[in-house]
Amino acid sequence: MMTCAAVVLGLAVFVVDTLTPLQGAVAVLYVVVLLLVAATGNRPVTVAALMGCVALTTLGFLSGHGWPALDAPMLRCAVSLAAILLTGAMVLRNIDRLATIAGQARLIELTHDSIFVRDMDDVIVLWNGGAEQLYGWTPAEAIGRRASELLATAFVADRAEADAALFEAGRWEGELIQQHRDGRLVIVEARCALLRDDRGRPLRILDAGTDITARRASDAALAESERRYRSIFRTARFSFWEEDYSAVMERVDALREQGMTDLPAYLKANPDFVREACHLTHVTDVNDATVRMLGARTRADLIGPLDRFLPDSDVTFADVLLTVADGAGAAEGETHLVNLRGERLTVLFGISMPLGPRRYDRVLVSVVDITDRKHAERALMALQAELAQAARVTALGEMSASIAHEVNQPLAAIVTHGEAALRWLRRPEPDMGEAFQAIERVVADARRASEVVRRVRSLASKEPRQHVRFDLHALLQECVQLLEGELMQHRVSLHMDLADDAPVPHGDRVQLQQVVVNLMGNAIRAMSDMPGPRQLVIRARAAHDTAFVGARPARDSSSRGAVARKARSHDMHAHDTAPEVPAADAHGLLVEVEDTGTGIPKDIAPHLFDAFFTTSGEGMGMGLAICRSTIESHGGRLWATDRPGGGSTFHFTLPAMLAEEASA
Amino acid sequence: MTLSDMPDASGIPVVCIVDDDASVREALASLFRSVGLAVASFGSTTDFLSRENPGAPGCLVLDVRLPGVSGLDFQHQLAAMDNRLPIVFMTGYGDIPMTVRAMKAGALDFLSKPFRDQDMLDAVAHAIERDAAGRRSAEALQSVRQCYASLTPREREVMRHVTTGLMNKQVGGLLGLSEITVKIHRGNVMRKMGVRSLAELVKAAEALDANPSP
Repeated sequence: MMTCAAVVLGLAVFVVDTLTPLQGAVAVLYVVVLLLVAATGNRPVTVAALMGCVALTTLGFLSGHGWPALDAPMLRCAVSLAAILLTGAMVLRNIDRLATIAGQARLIELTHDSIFVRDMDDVIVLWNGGAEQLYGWTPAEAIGRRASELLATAFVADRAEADAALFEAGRWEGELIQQHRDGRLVIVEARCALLRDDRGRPLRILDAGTDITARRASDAALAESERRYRSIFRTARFSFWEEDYSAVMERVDALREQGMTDLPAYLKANPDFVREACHLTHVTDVNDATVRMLGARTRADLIGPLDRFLPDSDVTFADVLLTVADGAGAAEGETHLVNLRGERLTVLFGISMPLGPRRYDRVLVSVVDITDRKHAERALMALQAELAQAARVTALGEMSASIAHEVNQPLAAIVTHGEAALRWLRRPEPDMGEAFQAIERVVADARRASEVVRRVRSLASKEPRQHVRFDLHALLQECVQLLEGELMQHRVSLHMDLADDAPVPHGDRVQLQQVVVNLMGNAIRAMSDMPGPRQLVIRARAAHDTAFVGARPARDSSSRGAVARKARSHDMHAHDTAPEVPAADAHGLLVEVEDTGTGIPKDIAPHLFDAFFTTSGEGMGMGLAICRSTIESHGGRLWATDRPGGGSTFHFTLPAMLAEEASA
Repeated sequence: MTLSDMPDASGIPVVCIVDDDASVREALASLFRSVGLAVASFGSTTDFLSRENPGAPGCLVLDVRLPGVSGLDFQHQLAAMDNRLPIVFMTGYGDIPMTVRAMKAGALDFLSKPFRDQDMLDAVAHAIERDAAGRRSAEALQSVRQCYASLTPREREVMRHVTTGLMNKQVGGLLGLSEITVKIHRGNVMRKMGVRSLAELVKAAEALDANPSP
C-alpha cells in the first residue's frame, strides 16, 4: 500500500521533473518517496527505492540538460542527489535500529521475567508475556491502565528513596509487594530503569520483575527451621553436641591419597590414629543439658577437643569415625565420658550424618547420661544375686535341717539304747536280755542312719538334668556384668582370652554360671587387699593341649618329655589331689580363672574344697565345695594351682559333648 | 501302745512317751525301765489321749516334732483340758525361741536329741515329783471344796465376812443378825470346814478364791 503510493509519487515526481520546465529542485521530493518506502521497514525494498530515486534523478537531469556543464541546474541536481542519499542513509540506519529493537522486543517477549513499560503518568504502554504470567493480566487488559492502581504496588523499603534513586541514577532495584489479578499478593524482585529522551527528559519507566514469593517463603521456612533447631538444641533436656570433624576428615583424605583404601582395617590397626582423631575432633557447640551433665559453668568451658571428655578406654570412637567418613548413616553406642569434675559417666550416644551435601563441620551428637540407671541396674543385679544367694542358703538351711532331723533321730535312739544297755548291765543283777535287745537296736539304728545318708546322696544326684549347649562368651559376659560393681569397687582390671578353638560347652547353664561367678568373686576378694595392679584373667580353650594333659598321668610316651615337665610343675603348684582326668575329657573345654591376689596359703590348700571351710568369715564355706560337685556332676574336674608370680588359678574342665547327645 | 509292766491304775507314776519314731520310743522305754520306772509309750498324741486314764499320775516325755499336731500345740491342748501332767520336751533341732515358748507354757525341761541319759532321768524324776506335789495340793483343794459345799448359804456369808477380818459384831450389823447368831454360824463353819483356827479358815478361803470350782 505504502509502497504503491511511493511508486506513484516517484513516477509523478519523475514526470514533473522531466517534462515540466520548472526551474526548481523538484527531485528533492524523492526524499518523500524514500521515507514512504522506509516506513515499511523493509530494508531491501528501501535500498532498491534509494537506488531507483538516484537513477530517476540522474535520468531526469540528463534528459533535460544534456551533458552536464557546471551551471545552475547541475548544482540543483547535485543538491537533490545529496539530499536523497543522505535521507537514504538515515532511513537505512533507522531500519537497522528498528530491526535491533524488534529483535530485543521479541527477546523481551521470550523472557520469563515480567517486563512492562509505563510512561511518566504511570500508564502502562508495554506488557510482556512474563508480566501476564506474573500478574495475571493480559497485555490488552493491562496496557492503558495505571500500573500502581492495577498492581497495588507496595514498597518493602522506603518509596521516596526508591524514587530518588530512580530519577538520580536512572535505575532502582528492590522488592515490591504487588497484587495478582486473583487478589493474592506476590513478592517481586523489581529492577526499574528510567528512559529519557534526547534532551534528558524522563520519558518511560521500564519495570522488570521476578516472582520471588516462593523463594521468600522457603527462605522464611528455612530461617524458621533453623531457629527451631537452635531452640531445640539449646533447651532440650538431653545433651546435644555439635562437633567439627573437618580436620579429621582432611587427615582421612590425605591417607586415602597415600593409598589407604580400607578405613575400618586401618583404624583397627592404628589405635593411635583413632586417639589422634579424637583430639582433632572439636566440640563447637553444646547445649545447657550438656553443660549440666559435664559439670561445667558455661558452654565455653566445653568448646575444644573431644578427647578431653572421652577416656582412653573408649572403644566406640572408631565406629563414629567410620560413620562420619561415610557421610551418611548413623552410629550409636554406649561409652563413658569423664566430666570436668573427673567423674566417670556412662552414656548412650547417637550420631547421624545429615542428609544432603557432605559437611563435616557440624555433626550433631546426642547423648543420654545413664550413669544413675546403670548404678541402679547394677544394684538391682547385685540385689538379685544376693537374693538368689539368700534363697540358696535358705534352701540349703532347710534341707540341712531336714537331713539333720532324719539323721538325728536314729542317732538319738542309738545313744539312748546304748546308755540303757549300760544301765541294764550295771544293775546289781544285770539283765542280759534287755541289754542284748538294746544293743541290737543300736546296730539297727546305726544302719538306719547310714541309710538316710545314702538316700540324701542319691537325692542329690537325681537332680533333673537341664543340660543344653550354650554360648560360653555370652555366659562369661553375664558373669562380668553381675560382678561389674565389685570389679570397679576393687579396681580390678579384667582380661578375657577366649580361644577360637574352645569347644561349645554343654551343661546346666545356671549351675555353671554360678560356678564362674563364684570363682570370679573369690578371685576379686583375694585381690581386694593387694597393692599394685589387680588383674583378673579368664581364659578358655580346648583342653587337649599340654596344660591340660599335664594334669593327668602321662600315657603317651612320644610326648613324655613335655608331659613330664608339665606334670612336675603341677606337682609343685597343684593343690588338693591332682585331678585324674579321664582320657575322654582330654578333648573338652578348659576354663581358667586367674587372679593376682594373695594366693592360697599352704595350710589352707588341702581344705580348699571342703564343705563348711571358709576364710572369709562370711558365708557358709560351701562355695568351692558346691562348685566342685557341680563341675564333677557335669563330668569335669575343678582344681587350683599357684600362679607364677603370685595369686592363684582355678581351672575347670567340661568334657566335650558326646556324639549321640549332640545329635539328640 | 505299749503297756507298762506296772498298771497305772495302782497310782504308781507312769512315764508316758510320745514320739513318732518307734526306735526312740523303745530306747527311752528301755532306759526308764532300767531304772525301775513304769512306762507307757505312744506313737502319736491321739494314741495318748485315747488311753484308759490320761490323767493318771506320772509325767509326759513329748517330742516337739510330731506328725499332725506339734508337741508345743499339744501342750496347749492338754492345758485346755485341765490335764496338768508335767511335760519334758525333746527335740532334734531345738532353738531358743521354741524353748522359751515351751518353758513359758509350763514345760519342765527341754532336751535336745541326742541327750545324756542322766539328764533325761533327772528331768523325768523332777517331773514326777512335781506331779505328785501337784496332785497332793489338788486333793487338798478338793476336800476343802467338799466341806465348803456342805455349808448353808447363810454360813457361807458369815465365812466370807469373817475371813475378810470383820468382828462378829460387824458381821451381825452387815447381815442384820445378832452377835450371838453370828457366833453360832461361825462355830458351824469352823466345824464343817474342819479347821481349828481362824488362820486355817482364811487359808481355806484363799485356796477356794484362787481356784474357783469349775
